Amino acid sequence: MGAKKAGKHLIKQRKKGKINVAGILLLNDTGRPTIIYGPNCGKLAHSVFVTDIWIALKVWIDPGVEFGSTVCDGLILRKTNRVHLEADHSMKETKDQWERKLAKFPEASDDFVLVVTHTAARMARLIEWSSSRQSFMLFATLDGLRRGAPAVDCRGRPATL
Amino acid sequence: MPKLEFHPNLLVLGSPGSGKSVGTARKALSFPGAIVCADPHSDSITSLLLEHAEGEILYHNISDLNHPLGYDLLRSAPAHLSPTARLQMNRRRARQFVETIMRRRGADIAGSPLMEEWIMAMLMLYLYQGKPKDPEIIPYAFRPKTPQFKALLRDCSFEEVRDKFGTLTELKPRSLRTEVGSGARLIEPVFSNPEFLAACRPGVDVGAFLQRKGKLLIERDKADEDVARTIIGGLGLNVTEHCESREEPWPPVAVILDECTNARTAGPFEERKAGETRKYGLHWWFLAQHDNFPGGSEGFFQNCQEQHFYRTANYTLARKLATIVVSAGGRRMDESRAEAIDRVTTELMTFSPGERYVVGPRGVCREQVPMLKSKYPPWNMKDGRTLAQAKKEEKLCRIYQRPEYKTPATPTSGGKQSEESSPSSTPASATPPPTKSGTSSSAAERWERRKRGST
Repeated sequence: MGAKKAGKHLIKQRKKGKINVAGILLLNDTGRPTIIYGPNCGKLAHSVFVTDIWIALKVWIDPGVEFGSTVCDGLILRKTNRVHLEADHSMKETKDQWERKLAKFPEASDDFVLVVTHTAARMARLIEWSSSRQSFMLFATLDGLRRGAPAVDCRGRPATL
Repeated sequence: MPKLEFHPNLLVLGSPGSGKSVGTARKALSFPGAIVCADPHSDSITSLLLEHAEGEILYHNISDLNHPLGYDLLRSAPAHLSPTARLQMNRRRARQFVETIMRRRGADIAGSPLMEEWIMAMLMLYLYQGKPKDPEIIPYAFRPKTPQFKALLRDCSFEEVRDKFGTLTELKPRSLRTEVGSGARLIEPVFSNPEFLAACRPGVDVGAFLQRKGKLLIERDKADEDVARTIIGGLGLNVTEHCESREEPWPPVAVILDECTNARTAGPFEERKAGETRKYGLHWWFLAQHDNFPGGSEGFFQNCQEQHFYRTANYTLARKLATIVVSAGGRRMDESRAEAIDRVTTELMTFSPGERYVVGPRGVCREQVPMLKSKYPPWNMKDGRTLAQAKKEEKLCRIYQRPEYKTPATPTSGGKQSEESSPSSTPASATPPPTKSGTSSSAAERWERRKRGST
């Protein structure tokens, strides 16, 4: 279905009350704001980012799964591999805040954590800050996931998802 | 202990495709206790429960030797009991096994006394072994000239049985065949089957698993019918013994036997226990296409307080069930009994899938059971599987990681079995358990290693 047709369909469904408008977001710096459909949620932009990751990876993400003493943005299951998703949407977390978040993860785990950022520069900075939990952390950018590029670990080694 | 709720025994009758499995799976998912579900088919009620159930789940595909589950089916009575109590318990176990094995011939024990006598003695010979032995030695009880036979005789602590088998050594081959030939022919295919031997070994602590409200799902798939029936019968005995011996009848346990008449998993033992074990918190759910239970269906109708009748293609059966429905209160004010029976018979023969009559202590009601929808959208994965299939396989991979699937060493095995589960075609179990520390290896290396191990 083309975008125009999809848009018309969405408007009809909205008028019938079958879908809910969660909000309106400016996804790029310029351009028309985008209407976001779905259930109401607190952090709309963050949820849209997680959904973009979902679409890029083409996997089901189970939300609300605990890891250590915190809850990540989602859990991806690949056969017996459990991968917890951390979506760094805001890119505003400082080093202290990031290390406080990592402290809530277990020190060693059979699970993995995939950190997805918007830019490669931000990814490099998070890799630097993640040395305390390097044994199970993988990093990727959203564009990289869309292109099918592998994730990398703290040493820069690739891991094909 | 929570207040005991009323959980009736259940009898579900309906033609193939009438919605029995879906309706029963719905009820099982809301059951507040442990479940043991035995399904002779694949992709039926067990598959639905596997997809939708949460909590502790064990899945046993009997034909899958890469993920066997052992139930210690032929365990002897505990040694701390008095000799009389031990004898009573062992005899009861052996009798139940004999009854299950004899269902293969469609006969009961009384019809073949010689066969019954020797099979009972054979099982008692094994149960009274001083040194524990692998169950694959059991068929050698009827081969007097073998070293395994001599070992069985030497280590048996029950003198009466030892003397009985001692007489076999003096028989000529022809006499031996007359005496034990039929029994040997009956037990050989079952007791030398690797699937049955795997189930006889220790593995699952059934009692502890049921007390944790676990769900044990068993599928026959491609396994031999007799083997599957014997395993299910033996497991039923284990479950019954656990429920009867526990201090409190909590949590409730439901044993679901799908296609119990076709697979012959419901017999006199199950009928008897359905009438006795409700006070121990054990409930029986029988699903069948027809009421051709061995020994008649009256006992099952009597002992099952709730009955579900789905679409029935057979007129005679539909009429019989219609009589039950009308007698339980399914008659309208303005119609006679005969008219009501005619009406309900027609309804039973023309129900759509999922429609049913429920006859229970509260009377009769007609209802439509909605389908169990998959909780995942119908997406297709890159490899051609649907999302639901992929999630089911992932769930199975996680279930197979449980310690119950690790095969213990057998007492007199050839040393081929080890503490770890045997490697298999299914990727996840071939992967050695990863180390928790992992600080010295990079995450990417560990990821690629696990991925290689799983492909």
